[in-house]
Amino acid sequence: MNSYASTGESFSISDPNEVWIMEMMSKGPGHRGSVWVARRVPAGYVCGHANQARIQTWPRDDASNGTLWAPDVVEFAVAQGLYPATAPSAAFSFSDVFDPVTPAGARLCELRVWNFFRQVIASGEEFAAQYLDYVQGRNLSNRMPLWVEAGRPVAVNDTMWYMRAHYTGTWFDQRTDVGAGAFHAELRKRPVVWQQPAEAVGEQSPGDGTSNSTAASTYVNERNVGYQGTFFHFVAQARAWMPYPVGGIIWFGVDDTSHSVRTPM
Amino acid sequence: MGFGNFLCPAPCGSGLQVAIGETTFDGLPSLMSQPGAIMDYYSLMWVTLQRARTAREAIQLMDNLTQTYGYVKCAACVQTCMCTAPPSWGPTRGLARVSPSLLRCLTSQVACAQPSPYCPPLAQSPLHNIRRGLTPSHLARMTPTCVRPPGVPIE
Repeated sequence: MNSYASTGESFSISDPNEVWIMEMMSKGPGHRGSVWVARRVPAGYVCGHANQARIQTWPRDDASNGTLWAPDVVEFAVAQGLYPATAPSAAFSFSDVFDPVTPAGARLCELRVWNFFRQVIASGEEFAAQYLDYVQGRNLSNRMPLWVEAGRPVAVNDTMWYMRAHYTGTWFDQRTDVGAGAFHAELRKRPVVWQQPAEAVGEQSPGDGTSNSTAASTYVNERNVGYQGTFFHFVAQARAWMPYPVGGIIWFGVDDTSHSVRTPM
Repeated sequence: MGFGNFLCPAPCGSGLQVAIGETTFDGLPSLMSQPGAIMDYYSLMWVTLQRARTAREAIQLMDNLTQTYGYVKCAACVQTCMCTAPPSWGPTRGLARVSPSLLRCLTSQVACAQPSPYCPPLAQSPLHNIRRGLTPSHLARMTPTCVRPPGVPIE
């Protein structure tokens, strides 16, 4: 969790037969409750979320019965002035209305999903290239799909390896460029977001009056998938063919997913 | 795991093989608080895992619970009264002998113990803190002087 002004929540919800993603937003002061959309991840597909709302539009006549939503979600947004009353309800995008993606949201949050997707999908390099400008934070309209088809069956152990990633071998590789730390480390010094002091910016300005020398630029150190700020993490394994008390396993770990031991519980 | 919930440090799995994970997103600041609401995401996940037999049931239950009891992100408390550990705790003293991320989490929950119009009543209950592993002695060490100024990100 990297934000303090958080108002919404993405939930992954699973049972032995289905996996859902649910995104929920408080209705705020003067109201009671929440608005939300939930979508079932299709069989053979994988989904991800990392501190950025991801559900956009959703089918209203879903024959597969794989979508649920708060009946007043669009109505509420219209009443709040967040969505034009004249716009079609079906075009309503949950994440674009309640949690519009920012450059930081793309670079620090969606990038982690991108990395998982590019690793798990059959055409990973193609996928990575297609959405590179989005996760760089340069083309925010180039949104990634909510889920992608896995190129092969994903084992429990695979999920743990996906969560150890540090973007090595990608455009975001932290081992080599001028900002790299000692010993070509895959991790960089914190903080994740930092600003160049305004006076330093001023010194570098061309002096032709065209630049705003008081504006400090904001930079990032990549927020890895395996991230040192992690409090705890788990992989939930469900096995429908076994008695329930022993079928469900929570592979639980604390701190950075890169290094910590997963304990079955 | 039996039929109880796996609760530490956030509820994630039930004895019925229902599991819930979560990530927070920023969202619109105008919807940040909901005075009177007593369901935060943690409580919501906990209560849901106690009751839901399937993922679909969990979703419907989370809807019912938030519409009945109100929904507010615990981060709403964090914004108004988030505490950071006093420097005197240092990295190796008392509660601070945990990872910085764990400490941030614990102290954010401590913050909920301080009365605020934005803190849900449930978050102010002793039970709420105890199930986060916080004892009265932890709470006693938190003072209003450690309130984090608005606008300072947790990271």
